[in-house]
Amino acid sequence: MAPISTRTTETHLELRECDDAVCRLPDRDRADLLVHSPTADVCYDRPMIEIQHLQFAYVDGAFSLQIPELKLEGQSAVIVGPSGSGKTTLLNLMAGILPVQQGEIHVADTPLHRLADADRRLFRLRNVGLVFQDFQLIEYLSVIENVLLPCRIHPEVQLTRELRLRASSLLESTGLAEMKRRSITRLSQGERQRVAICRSLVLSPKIVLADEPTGNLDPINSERIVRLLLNETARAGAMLVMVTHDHSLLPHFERVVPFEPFLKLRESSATAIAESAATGVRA
Amino acid sequence: MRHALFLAWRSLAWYQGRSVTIVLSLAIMMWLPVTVRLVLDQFRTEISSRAVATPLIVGARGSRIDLVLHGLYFDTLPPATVPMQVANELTEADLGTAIPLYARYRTQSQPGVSGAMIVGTSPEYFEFRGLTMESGEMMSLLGECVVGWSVAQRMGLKAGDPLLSAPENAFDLAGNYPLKIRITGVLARSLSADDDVVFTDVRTVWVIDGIGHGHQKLNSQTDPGLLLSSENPKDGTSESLVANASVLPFTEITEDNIESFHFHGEPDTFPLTAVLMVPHDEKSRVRILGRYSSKDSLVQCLKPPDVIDELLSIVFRIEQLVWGCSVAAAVVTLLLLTLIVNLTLRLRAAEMQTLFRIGCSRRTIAVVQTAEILIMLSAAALTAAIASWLTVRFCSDSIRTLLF
Repeated sequence: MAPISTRTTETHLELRECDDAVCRLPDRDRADLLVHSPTADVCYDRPMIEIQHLQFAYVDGAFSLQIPELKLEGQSAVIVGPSGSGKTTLLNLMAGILPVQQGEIHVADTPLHRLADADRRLFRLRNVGLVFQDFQLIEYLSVIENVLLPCRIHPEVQLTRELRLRASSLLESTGLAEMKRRSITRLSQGERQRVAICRSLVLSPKIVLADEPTGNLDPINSERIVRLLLNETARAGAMLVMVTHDHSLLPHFERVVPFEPFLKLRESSATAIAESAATGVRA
Repeated sequence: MRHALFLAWRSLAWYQGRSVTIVLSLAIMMWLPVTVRLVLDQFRTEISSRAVATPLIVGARGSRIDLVLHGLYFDTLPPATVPMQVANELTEADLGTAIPLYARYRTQSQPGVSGAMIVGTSPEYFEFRGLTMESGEMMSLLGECVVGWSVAQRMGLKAGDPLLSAPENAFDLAGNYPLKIRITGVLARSLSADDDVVFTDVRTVWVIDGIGHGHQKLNSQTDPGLLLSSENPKDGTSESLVANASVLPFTEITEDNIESFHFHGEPDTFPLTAVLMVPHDEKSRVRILGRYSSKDSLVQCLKPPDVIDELLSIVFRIEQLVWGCSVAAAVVTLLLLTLIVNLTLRLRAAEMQTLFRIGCSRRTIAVVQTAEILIMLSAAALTAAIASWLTVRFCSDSIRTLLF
């Protein structure tokens, strides 16, 4: 299969493969139903992320999520809540890392709740870029090799010269052009997070999910990383959804989603999270 | 698969210490049984072919294996010697060609190089073994020798160089004196035990043995102090002279003194360590074997292939033992490797979790991990193959010496 080089092509493929009733309508009728996405010049049947009647709980877990309805669209959104409250769980559900137990999640027109594990993995590779708090880079690979890692594990992508140029271009735009052959272990925390951002964008995803990407950084670097994420995702035409407990970063985002209304806590956990929120210290 | 191999290779290169340890463990596990098998096969082929090419060996009764190994490789000394009469009788009976062997002394060692065995024989030996000259010419006079290819290489010898025999016992003042012998040529390489010895005429070894010698002629005019008695003491011209112990024996055989060399005693009684017998035909062979079949005889006649088969049955038992040890070692190594691989997978759990989160399929993750194991197995197999080849190529002689 040809490499995924433009989002427009990929989106059309996605629409053609969709077996939803809406997709089977004639083009003229379907166009009326599409929601125009401001993040890219493509149209979706739904908002970029749509959650309905979602319920999720870990076995013996401290909390359970209950989200009657949540729609995220636009260029950026931030989900804010105290540490340990389950924001990462929600992000993992949106990415398809965790299976949906009850309810529906549609991401980029794909009903994640209907997909099996293997399909959700492929969905992530095709559509989602992930940025983690602890970067999750592979230490035995160089900077550029880490950025190109998704291309090496994608079953439908050939590691072409264009993709290598794209990786170099991303590194250049994040100020890492001189370090692309360098070992990850020789980078600072901020530099590592920039590499992780480049990795999340290399396959031109529709959505970038960032799980507290500034959690390990000082305030100055946090600010820089958030700006970088916003700029790079905007440039790539992707939507950025970030979770954080840092309220100082909220003004950068188009939409702020408070997390507390979705939580159903057990007593002991509720106390711990409340203390964490009050002191600003992570649980 | 290409990308899985790339990731596996980078991982192996990053965790160098662990990778090298696993590869070496696997390589040793593979190398040991393979090398033992190859060396023993080579040894079996080599020793069998030389044994098959040697019809009969006659020598003193005693250890059959010692006598045959001496006759074939000059390695071990038989328990006793046989008189030259044995060879002479076989020749006179016209049953075949009797080739005398007298291998008891070595050349003197050089710094870092041990001396080579001096084998006294007759010119028929070279014809029988098909030995040819690489340089120089065949020995023709008493005190001359030809050296095997390996000896010449090891000691840097060439035609015209001298060689000194080593005394059997340096502290035995009444024992034999070292004899300086002259090299007339170097034998072409034969890839056999003949490359590792010095060949000379059997009479030259008897000279080293002290049976034959040459010494200065005494004259009452020139050596009055040495002459003790004479039939005609005035002019000292008698053939029967008595001299004191200061008369010096020659330690080198030259054109000037070769005439003075002589042997004391009956030639039939002079010692041989073995006689190679090449019968004219099957009938002669049976007759020779029958000649020494009596249990009372002090001489035995052996068929080298039979004795070597006995020897190889011992070797085969050693091989089975080595195989058994190898299997035990392999089981232990595999258990350790399983433990290491398990620990490695645990150590790399975070990395695999990252691949999963990004969207890597189960199959791809399994392929990455399998590729790593395959690369290590391939590297170990290659290392074992190269090590086995090098061992067989360069160490088979040492292993043979070690075994026998």
